[in-house]
Amino acid sequence: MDNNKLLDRLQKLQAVFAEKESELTSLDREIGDGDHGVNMKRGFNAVKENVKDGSTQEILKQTGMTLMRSIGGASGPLYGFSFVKMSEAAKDEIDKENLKQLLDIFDQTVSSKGKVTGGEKTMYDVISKAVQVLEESGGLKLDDLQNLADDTEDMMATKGRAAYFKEKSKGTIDPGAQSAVYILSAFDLEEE
Amino acid sequence: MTEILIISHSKDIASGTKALIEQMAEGVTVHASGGVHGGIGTNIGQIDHMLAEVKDDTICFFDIGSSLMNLEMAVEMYEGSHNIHIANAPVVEGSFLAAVEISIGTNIDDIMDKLSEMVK
Repeated sequence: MDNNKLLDRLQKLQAVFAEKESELTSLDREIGDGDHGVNMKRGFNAVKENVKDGSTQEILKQTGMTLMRSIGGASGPLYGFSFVKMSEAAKDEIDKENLKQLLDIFDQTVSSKGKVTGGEKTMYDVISKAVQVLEESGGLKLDDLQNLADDTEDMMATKGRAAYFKEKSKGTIDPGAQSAVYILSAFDLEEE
Repeated sequence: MTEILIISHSKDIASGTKALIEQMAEGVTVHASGGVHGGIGTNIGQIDHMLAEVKDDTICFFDIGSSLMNLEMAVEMYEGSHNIHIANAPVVEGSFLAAVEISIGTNIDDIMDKLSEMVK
């Protein structure tokens, strides 16, 4: 995946999050404050508007800075900072090996900055297992990633605002896990 | 001279704490910001903006929830020449203690040691 392809994929997330806004909002209404849908839409609207060209590294960094500044709550800074960190390790042409490195950085950034270890019903439950999906399937297909988000449905939240819902947080997919599915699918290496 | 930075979810907490410590420890530089878009919250941009203004090594204080995360990210991306320390001490008591110590010339490492003993 070269810089043009990456830019195209990231810009297409604008349409994805516009379409999925109500889905994310309804998940977040169940176990959060209901703003994840509008936040993600705002973030990728800004990406489409602000990130126009550049090298692979520049595109990732600009996307990260834009997300950090346009999405509220914890998710924007976590996604944004992860993109900034990934930009430092990205190659001009992202191949499978490089993508593994980027996913490791995504994993470490969310884990260290979000103070999560897994199983807490967060975006990390999808992000931390994305490398495994890549190794097993050779790509990051939406269906495979969705299985990871679906696994958060039965988890009880112990992090973030959802933790206040305790047992009641069970039965709903975590909205951050769901948005992570869409973001990670943009890095799928297979031809469309 | 060591400076102080405060990031809060509330504009009133930030400005109130700044007013308190400036009165108690005159001459100490305090950067304070709180709230986003007229409401409750913190973002990285406002921390970047304060960090761009610091003119010496700085001790940072944060309040609840995502303020620490935002502060850590802003500090990690800081490209200036000063050392930026994050104190895990209560905002009011911690920044007050730090300001008094700064005003009597205590060095920053000793202040950080004292702050680490304060339970949040």
